[in-house]
Amino acid sequence: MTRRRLVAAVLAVAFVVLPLAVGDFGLSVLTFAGIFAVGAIGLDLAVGHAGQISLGHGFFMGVGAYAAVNLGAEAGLGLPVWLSGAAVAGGALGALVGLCALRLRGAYLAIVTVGVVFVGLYVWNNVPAISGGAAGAGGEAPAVLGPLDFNHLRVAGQSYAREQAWFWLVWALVAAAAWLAANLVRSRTGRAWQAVHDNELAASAVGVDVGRAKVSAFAVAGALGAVAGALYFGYVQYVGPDEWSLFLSVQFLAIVIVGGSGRLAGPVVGAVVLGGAPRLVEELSPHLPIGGLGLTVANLNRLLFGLLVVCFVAYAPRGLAGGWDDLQRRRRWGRRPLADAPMVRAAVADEPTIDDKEQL
Amino acid sequence: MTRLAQLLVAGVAVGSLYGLIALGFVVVYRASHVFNFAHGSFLLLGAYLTYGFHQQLGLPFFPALGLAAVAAAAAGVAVERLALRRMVGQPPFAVIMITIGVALVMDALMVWAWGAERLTVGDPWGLTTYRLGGAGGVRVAAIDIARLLAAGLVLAAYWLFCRYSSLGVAMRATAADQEAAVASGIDVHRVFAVCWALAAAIATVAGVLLAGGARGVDPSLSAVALAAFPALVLGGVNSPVGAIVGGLALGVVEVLAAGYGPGWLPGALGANVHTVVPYLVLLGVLLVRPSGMFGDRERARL
Amino acid sequence: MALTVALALLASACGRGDSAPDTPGFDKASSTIRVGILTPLSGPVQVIGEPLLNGFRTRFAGINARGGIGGKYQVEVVAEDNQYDVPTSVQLYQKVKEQVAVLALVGTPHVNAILPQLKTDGVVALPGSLDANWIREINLLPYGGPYQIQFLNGANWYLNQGGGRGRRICAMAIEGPYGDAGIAGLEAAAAAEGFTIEATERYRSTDTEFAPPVGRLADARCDAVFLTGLPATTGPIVGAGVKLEFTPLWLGQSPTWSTALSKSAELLPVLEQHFLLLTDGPEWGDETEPAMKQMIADIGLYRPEQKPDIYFQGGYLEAMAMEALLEKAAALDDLSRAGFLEAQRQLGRVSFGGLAGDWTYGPPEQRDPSRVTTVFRPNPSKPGGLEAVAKNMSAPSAQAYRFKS
Repeated sequence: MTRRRLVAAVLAVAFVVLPLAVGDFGLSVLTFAGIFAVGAIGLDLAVGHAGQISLGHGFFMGVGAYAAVNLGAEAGLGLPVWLSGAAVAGGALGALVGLCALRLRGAYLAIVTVGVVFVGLYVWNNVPAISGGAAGAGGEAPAVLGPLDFNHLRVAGQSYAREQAWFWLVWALVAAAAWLAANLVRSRTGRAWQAVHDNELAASAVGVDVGRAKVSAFAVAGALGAVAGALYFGYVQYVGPDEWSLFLSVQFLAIVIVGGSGRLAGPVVGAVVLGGAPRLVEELSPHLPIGGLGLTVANLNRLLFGLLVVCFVAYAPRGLAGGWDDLQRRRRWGRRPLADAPMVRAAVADEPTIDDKEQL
Repeated sequence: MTRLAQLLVAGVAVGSLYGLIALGFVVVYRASHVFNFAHGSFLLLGAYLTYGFHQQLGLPFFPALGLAAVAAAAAGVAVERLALRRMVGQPPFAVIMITIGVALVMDALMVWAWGAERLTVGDPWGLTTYRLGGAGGVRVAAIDIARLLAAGLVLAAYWLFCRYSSLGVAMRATAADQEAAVASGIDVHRVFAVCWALAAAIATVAGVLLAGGARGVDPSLSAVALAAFPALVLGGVNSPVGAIVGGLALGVVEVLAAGYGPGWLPGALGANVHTVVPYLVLLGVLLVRPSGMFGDRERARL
Repeated sequence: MALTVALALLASACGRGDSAPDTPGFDKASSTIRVGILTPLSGPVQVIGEPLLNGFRTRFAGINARGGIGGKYQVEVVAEDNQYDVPTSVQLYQKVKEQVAVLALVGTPHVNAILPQLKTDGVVALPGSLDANWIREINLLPYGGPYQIQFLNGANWYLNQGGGRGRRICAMAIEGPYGDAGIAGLEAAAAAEGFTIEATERYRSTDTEFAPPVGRLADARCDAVFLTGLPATTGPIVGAGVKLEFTPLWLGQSPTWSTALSKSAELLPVLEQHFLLLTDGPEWGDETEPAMKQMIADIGLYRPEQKPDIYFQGGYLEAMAMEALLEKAAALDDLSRAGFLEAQRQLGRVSFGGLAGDWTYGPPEQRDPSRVTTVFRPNPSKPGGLEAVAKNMSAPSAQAYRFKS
């Protein structure tokens, strides 16, 4: 068996066994991690592969959640409909934001994507027809796929808890999203993204349609962000308007960075680590001497979250997945100098330093 | 008419704050091309430090404010040294992310130090109000005057510093062309450190003026910095004058939207329309001028 | 292939959709009932969550010392910090649901997010909010006077005792269901008492500049403004009025107040003159009310360092409501999930000893909330910083108010 197959087999076993071995609490943590992984895989296509910055990913998650509210809980349409409806809505709005990226870079693009979050918060709060307004929206989105009803899963006479069923549904979709991303990255579009990422000017010089690459990257990111949001609503069965905040977008970026941007496994690893770490710290907290310092567990978690982001960006820009790659390579080849191609470093290749010569 | 005048007063006051906040962003961005998402945390730090020196240690207000500005400036230098220095030459995405990480760390530390409860900074302006033009005239609060004055004075001081001090000249040279500055013997790292110190000191003034009056200081104060983004884009991220003008313009726009929006827009759309109007203005501006009203045009690359 | 089959077999043997312990949270051997509370102990709402938890714990410490529930069961409190974050709340519910018999929650969005699961699992929880939307939910056990009742009583008091007849009455409310409840209460009062609401303003919790909405209230020449909001915005709203030389009488729902407000040297004089708080219960330390007397005694024994705090009192009250349910379930001798739901149906009238108005529980359609409100004035010389102007009043309009079924 090759190493690749071994990893696949281990993951498959984990996929089936985890819901049987782990309690509802652990499954709930992992299900949220899976939901975030789907969104982060999308974000990484824009950030890690195409080199565009987005602080608006939380907005797309909201778009998907409300697609699921309206198509699933309100209209009663099936899982394939509300999931793909979310993807279409998120993709279309993503493309719209991508159009802004045609003219803007760096800080300006970042600010526009922040603006998208605030425009979203206004819509979610003030247009009850879409979002239920400030009161939020609740209900059960049908989760039937073929013979499987994930809200009340029953297979071969055996009934499964909702936590078990949703773990399987969500993580199957994580696998599907990863497969989709892997194929996109290898496609012509993916190569165009990489070219734009590495050097926009050079890319257009060799005939890459830079605009098309940017718009498509934002569209795919938006679509997967929206799928994550739809799953979030399907799982929690209630969403309020203020959940789709800027902090949510920051969490997505942190997942990509800690996991390792530009790598398939990165967003998934990041989602599991950042989703699980706070709960782990809480479990360990009785043994930590933080009470004497006057530090609450949640505040410690906030602090650790910030420190993780700072440390990974500054000292390990290739993230956990990148670190793993390096470790493997080192073991195989001994201590050879590593190829200096960190994805994050080159995430946006157009430092505007040279553009500001006009000053003075 | 009185109502419009009254709203304009409020708009100018809010706009002065936005301008001061935007100026802090500009000072750092101009020299080092770092878009500092931690700026909001410096607002909070400045306000908390002033609270600490004034209310906890009992110093008079203005010396406390001055000490807080100095301490915040030191914190700014420390952040530049510890987190940002490694990032020179890195792409904007990584630099923006590290400032976000710094903001998270700073906010967590401040909650640790001062808790989450809302504290009063004890500013001398309080709720004092003056009336212009007799009964039915426009009312202007002392703190609103202080906000406008502070915006003007800080901008003037910054301009004088850039113009006449050797450090200021070095800052301008660095802003214009980093490589040339290095080549001509300017210590770019020192310039960056000075910019962070200045931005933190400006943030202290803005934070205290924001927390003053009736509001008080609590961890949510740092989020107000986000409201200054549209002002920043309107003015241009590397223009100090643009920051203040953009701040004033968007402060007025926002308050007018809050004042008239609910009456003019149908149904629920009018409520809170002021939260979104600045961003709609921002998008409109960027479509016409991608580098703001006063910003330097970035070279077309496509 | 063999692996797949083996896994499939394993999976089919380990479903747990139908299985649950008979009496989760109840340990017969040690005669202990565990109850859970999910509350924000960090973040911006920490200032509410922490004292609330302390009040909750203090009540149960007293109950345990007095012999426990039904004279035989000790109560153990399992507290978790939901950080006021919805995914965290959902995860923590999954964590504690098999460990506890009954659950107390804090925060409207969190209750909304957990409610579907409560229904699926047949768990009873206390919503910890005065939102009337939950009166008809059998899985929830609300307590205290709903927001509508606070304004019905407040408006009646203002008209009859506060010199409000013929004055101009307005409303200012935060966005969302809480604000809607406040406005609904004032509208009901207007219909019952025959006045009109001259102006209504809404705002967002994140707003920083209140000159525009408060300016409109000033233009409408409001004499009294019924305020539905959170403590963090009360100061800026009242302050915006002062800056416009607009000082109506502000009548606030219970969450508009926090002790931090009474520490502001600028605001306190204004609030003393122009602010009234509408909420449950007597003044802190008013021992003519039996529950308050008990609370002061419990504080002396179990939490002597406690300073007066309305959220501590709220937590103590929440524990009283939970205690009533536990007592009923113990009396019915069924501490299973179904037993608690049955106890909900049979609970009947519960007295809160003057700490809040009595409730009639029972099947959801027969539930009848408290109709009682106390009008407070800020007064720094009082232990809790609040002086009762009219204690436990209940206007005819409040008694006649019909909650939607």
